[in-house]
Amino acid sequence: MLLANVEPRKICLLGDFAVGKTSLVSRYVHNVFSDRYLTTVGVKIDTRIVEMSQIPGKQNPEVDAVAGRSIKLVLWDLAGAANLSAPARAYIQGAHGFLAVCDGTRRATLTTALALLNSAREQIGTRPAVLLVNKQDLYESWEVDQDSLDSARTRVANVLATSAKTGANVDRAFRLLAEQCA
Amino acid sequence: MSFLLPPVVRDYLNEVWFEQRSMFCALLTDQGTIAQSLGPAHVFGLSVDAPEILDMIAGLGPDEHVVIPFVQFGNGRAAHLHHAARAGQRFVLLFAADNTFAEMGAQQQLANELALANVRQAQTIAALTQAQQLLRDSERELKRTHDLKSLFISKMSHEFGTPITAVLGRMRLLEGVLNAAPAVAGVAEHLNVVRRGVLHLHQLVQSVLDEARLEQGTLRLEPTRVRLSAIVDDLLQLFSAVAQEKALKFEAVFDGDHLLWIDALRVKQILINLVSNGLKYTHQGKVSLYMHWREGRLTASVTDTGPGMTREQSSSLFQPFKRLNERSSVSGTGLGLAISRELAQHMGGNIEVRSTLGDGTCFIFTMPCETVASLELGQSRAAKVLIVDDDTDIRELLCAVLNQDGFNVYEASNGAEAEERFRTLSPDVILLDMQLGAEHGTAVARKLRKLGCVSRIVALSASNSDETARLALTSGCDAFLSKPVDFTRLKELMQEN
Repeated sequence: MLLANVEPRKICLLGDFAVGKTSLVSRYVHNVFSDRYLTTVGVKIDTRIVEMSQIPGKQNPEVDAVAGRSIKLVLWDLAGAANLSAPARAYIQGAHGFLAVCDGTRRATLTTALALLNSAREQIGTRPAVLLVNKQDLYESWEVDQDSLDSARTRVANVLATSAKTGANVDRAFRLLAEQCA
Repeated sequence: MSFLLPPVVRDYLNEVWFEQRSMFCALLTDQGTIAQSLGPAHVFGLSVDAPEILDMIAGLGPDEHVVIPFVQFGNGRAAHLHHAARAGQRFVLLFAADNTFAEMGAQQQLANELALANVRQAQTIAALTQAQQLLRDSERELKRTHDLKSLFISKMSHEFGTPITAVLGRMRLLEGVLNAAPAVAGVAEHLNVVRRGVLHLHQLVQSVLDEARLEQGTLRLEPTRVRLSAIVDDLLQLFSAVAQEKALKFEAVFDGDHLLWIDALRVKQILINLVSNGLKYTHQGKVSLYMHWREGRLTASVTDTGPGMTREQSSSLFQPFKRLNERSSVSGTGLGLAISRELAQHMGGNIEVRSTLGDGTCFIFTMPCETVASLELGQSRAAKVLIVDDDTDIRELLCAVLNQDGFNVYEASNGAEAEERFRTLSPDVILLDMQLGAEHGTAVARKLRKLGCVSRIVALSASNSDETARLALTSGCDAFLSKPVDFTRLKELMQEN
């Protein structure tokens, strides 16, 4: 594959601290997971090439349009925060899409994720976004309930429950956003 | 004064500056590719010309001036990134920021961990609060169930008590009549069958009630003065015939007669259970009861020559509803031993078992008790007893039983009659029902005491609750007796006067 022809797409991960943004990127890019919490300072940038292919037996105009192409997801893992700080406003410049991440075991982080996404859209305009409710492996301890998720769906079309620990829905979430940003 | 450094010096300075300060600069083309670069890209884990830089400025317009305070690279190093455009030139600068990054990282880590701990603490507190609420709800539900159970027991006691009292009383009278009349073939046998049936029913009801009361901790002890010899005699009388029927020997002996202050009814209940078990399970040989009182403790051992038990059987013997052999034809509720031990413990004592398979069993019951050295049991005498009860059947029954026992008995069906009878008769004992139609026995007792009554008042009630007993005893009654009436206990109470 000629990397020179690969189109970069800047994806920013937004969310409160310790919701699992770095873990999701680690799982997606390196397929590793660590239970140890290590806070992110500033931004960590990672990339992964995504080949857009047709899904056998499925007709999906959005996917079909980009089928055969490859894009490079440039993942900006922003330090967790409750609001969009001045530096963070610099980070999201030029973003093609957003992954808003919350922690299912902390109800408040859902509100934060939606607020951050809202601020980002206000600043750079509407971009494709997926809301990830992470820590699905701790579903028994979830504070985020179905009503909250239904309410979130009115603001973000794609909502997925993920687990960086088990890998559940992680690839699917990134690919979904890649398709929308391609 | 100014001077221009020679190019060789400038080059050297640049080299040293970029290397020592870990700086990197990339000049970009109009197309956004890297035209040339300067500085050690490898320090940040980047390739020679650092094409990765382009990922970091993806999405930025050529004229945008953006400063990214901290960018963390894959090799763990961190830098400040500047995307700048000056005089038609577009370039990217990286300045190593490891120290500041590490310092900020450590602070942020602490702050986030603290915030996380606070969140978890709040969640734990919320969970605890919820658990406490659940516990409170459970407690409320438990209390409600407990109250319902108490109500059920109270109702059951009332519903069963009165008819059983009547049947047992009439049986006793019938036996008296039969003893005085010429024998009629088969009648005594029929009567025996009826008596066994009623006694079994009585025992069953009492067992369930006792178990419930013990479980609730509401079983009330009623100590009286009783001779050790009297207990042994009663048991001999009760079981001699049973033993004889099975061709077994039953012996009951005591070492030193003492006047004890104990709840004789409960002590006998335990001994009856132990002896009865011994006789049930022993098929040849004997069952022996040996009792003595020493240094403040009453001890009774019941030994049999039955089949004995294994250690496992002995260890589960006192569990409620546990039968030694579930398929045994020996009748019983499976509550007897459990209740006996709980009763013993309720009185401050215990029951232990020693048994060897094939070599018999010995139950040892001990409990603390005091002796009443200076008192002698009153002899039965023709005392005057006034029975106050609105139920004609019960009144007649009590009259008949007490008459048979040699008392002078008088009747009253309500409070006014009771007062009248008290004035004219001055009875030694007043047997006062607690529910005289709409009139409450406690009110009658109070009235009698106000009138100067010093007679012994024995309260009689179909309810056996502690509350009823407490009300009776605080209204002026001296003793409390619940239905079904234990006629032996009734006689003891009459004699105590």
